[in-house]
Amino acid sequence: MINTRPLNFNQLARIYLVSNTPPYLYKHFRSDFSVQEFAKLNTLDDLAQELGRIAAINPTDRTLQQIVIAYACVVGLTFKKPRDVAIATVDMPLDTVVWANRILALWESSSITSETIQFQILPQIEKPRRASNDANVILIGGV
Amino acid sequence: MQNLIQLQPRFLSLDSCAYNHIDNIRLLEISPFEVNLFQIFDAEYGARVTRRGEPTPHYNCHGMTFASRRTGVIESTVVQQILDEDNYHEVPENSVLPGDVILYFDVDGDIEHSGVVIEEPKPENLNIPLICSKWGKYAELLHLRTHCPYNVSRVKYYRMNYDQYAAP
Repeated sequence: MINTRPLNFNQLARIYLVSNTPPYLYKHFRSDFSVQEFAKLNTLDDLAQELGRIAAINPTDRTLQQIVIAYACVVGLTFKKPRDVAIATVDMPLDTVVWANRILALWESSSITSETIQFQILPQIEKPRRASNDANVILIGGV
Repeated sequence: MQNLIQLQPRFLSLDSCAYNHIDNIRLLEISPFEVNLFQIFDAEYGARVTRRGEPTPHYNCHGMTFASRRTGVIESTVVQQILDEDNYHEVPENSVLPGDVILYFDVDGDIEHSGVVIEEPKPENLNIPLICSKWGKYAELLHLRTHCPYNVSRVKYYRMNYDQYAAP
């Protein structure tokens, strides 16, 4: 269940209505604190499901609030892991949220992965070794 | 569902002076809710700008500036293509004339807005040119360069250079 409580609808609607290009919408939504909180508060599945639900509504029947939520979901997804977002949206028909795919493409092209890979490196104590051909090496603690 | 299909964005056949295609998108979607919300802008900017025409989604600022109001151009790279292939060159603000193009850049250098100069800088306007531009899905407006919701601190002016244009 999507939680839209953090969204500053008035400000976001203003950004949406004067957006001439997808990058403008993307940058201004992404830098908006309420969208950042919205992304934190909702899971990737919540965002993707709500986006899909609004995308299925006839564009002329959508309220401005629904359009703002749809783009907040799109931008909210850009705070999640790229691989998971790709999986969640791969079969989603987003044509009616006209700039959605372009915004996701912009993000993919500019994103630096936030995924972490863990290596386990066991600690080991190196024994100091004297070079076999160097008689002048003095090792502290000696061997 | 039929309505949905009819509202899919459309594209126009549009070329630059170098005969290369210009990517464009003609949006058809605008809801009554959106139209109602434009009253926010009427209230906020009404005293300082003149609105010419009604809100329309069919073209955006770049579509007004570069595509005769027939369609929208939504990529900065495409605007740059037009500047290059139509032989625009930069003009300093003190040499600006009506008909020149103004581009607004964001802090990253991306083009976020464009318009057409309709009055050169004059002392009675504090030497700020008057612009005609389209604000997203909102209407065309006549406004001073500094009176709009875009990054007004970084603008450049351009003019087509017909003398140097050599048709292939």
